[in-house]
Amino acid sequence: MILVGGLSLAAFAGLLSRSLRPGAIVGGAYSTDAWRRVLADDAFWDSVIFTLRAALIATPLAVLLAVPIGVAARGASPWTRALLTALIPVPHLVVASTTVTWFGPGQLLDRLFGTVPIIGDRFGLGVILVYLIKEIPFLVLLVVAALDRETQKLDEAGRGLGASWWHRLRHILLPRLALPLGIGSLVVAAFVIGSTEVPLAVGPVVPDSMTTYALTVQRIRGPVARADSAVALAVTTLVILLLGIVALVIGRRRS
Amino acid sequence: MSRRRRSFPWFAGAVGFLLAGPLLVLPIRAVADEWRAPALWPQVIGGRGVQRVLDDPILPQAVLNSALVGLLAIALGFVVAWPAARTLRGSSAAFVLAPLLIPPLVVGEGLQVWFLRLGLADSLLGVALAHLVYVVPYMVIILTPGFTTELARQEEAARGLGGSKWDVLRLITLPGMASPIALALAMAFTVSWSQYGTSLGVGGGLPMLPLVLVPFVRSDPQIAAVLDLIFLLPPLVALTIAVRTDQRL
Repeated sequence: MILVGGLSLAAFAGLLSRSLRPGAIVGGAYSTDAWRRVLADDAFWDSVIFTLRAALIATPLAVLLAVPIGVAARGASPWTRALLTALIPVPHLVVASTTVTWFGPGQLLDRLFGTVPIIGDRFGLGVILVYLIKEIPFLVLLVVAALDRETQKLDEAGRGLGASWWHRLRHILLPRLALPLGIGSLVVAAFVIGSTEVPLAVGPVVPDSMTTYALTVQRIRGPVARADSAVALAVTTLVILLLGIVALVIGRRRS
Repeated sequence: MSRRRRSFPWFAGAVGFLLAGPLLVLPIRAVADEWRAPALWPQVIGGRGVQRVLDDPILPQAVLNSALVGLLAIALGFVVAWPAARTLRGSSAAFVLAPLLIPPLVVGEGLQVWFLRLGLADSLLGVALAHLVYVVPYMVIILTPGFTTELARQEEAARGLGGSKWDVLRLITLPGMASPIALALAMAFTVSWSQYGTSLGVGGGLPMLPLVLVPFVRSDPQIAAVLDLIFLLPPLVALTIAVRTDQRL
């Protein structure tokens, strides 16, 4: 695991190095120009808003939908559960591509119901939809795992003692679900923030997401591009790191 | 008298179909040589999409590259993940999963800085090494539950009866771990096979399946569907292994 941790740290160090020493590969001087250039760029802040908005909508919505589905799946057969979790190993890009086939302009749902303008829309509805489709099965899996036999016994005991469904939900089920769903939410949010292929496939041309902004600047800014791109990616990582720290602090306080 | 717990498996099944069912359009889209609006069924069925993929100078190479990188990544990943899974204890699990939170493009672009110096950038080996950041955590998480106390007892008994390390591995450990190993390899291959950001960053101009698929998603849905179906093969293998061996993905 040291290898994996080392590769991850090396990657982040490489980005910082590239953002501060644009010519690092051949030995360039230190400079904060790239940071100033990117942080003063309106297109970058548009990408931050676009990305965080998608994450802040997709993550809680996926959790809200996954809980009742997971509860309903408790009595389901293995085949039903397999169907419910079938999308977990399916690549995000395949889900995005299938979504275009259904929701794209002139595609199936457009032909059936008229315009369904979510592919390429500026708000990021296409991106949000792809993440809902892809991450709900993952969160359902966590819910089903958390609702184990011990939780069911507690639930039965609560019912035997006359607790209403609301009381059992609030005092038995939700506390048991809090930790797995907290970790799951962090993973989903990190996936939405860090994804590149989904916004490229179903997102708008403008604004970019934070990672596609990194690719766009590489394409259009010439020699300084790599440093600017590294800044955008470093900020993306810091945002996810910050989310992780917040989740850790909330988790510690609750426990 | 306690009431029966209410559950709604039909609801779960319906949601499952609603989520995964739309994938069923891909085989139709792949053979739809002509499918103009407002028709809900293709006007012409044929093999244009498959032919275009086979005739393209880059697409078959991209599939081959992705397969080679996947095999390399699971071979290297298994060597790292096996001892880690054996020794993993409760609280370490969060540490193992942490790399999954890092955006793949960050790993790709960041490692490229060092791989350029080491001569690993733009190479299949470099891409496979970068994929380890995501492949190893999945392998560890899938392998860990296989190392049960029962398996440890059987290994101990075999050693007590004079079995060598190799005998214990061959006759006890590997047969006992067969299902988790199969699922770990299939899932890890799928993870490597799906990598976009890392492949783009470290691979540079190397054609890989996810990289060549993106431009077709909106420009030529038929070719995108053919590539999607190829893309779906390893996940289907992983899902089949999971269902047949009753393991969680």
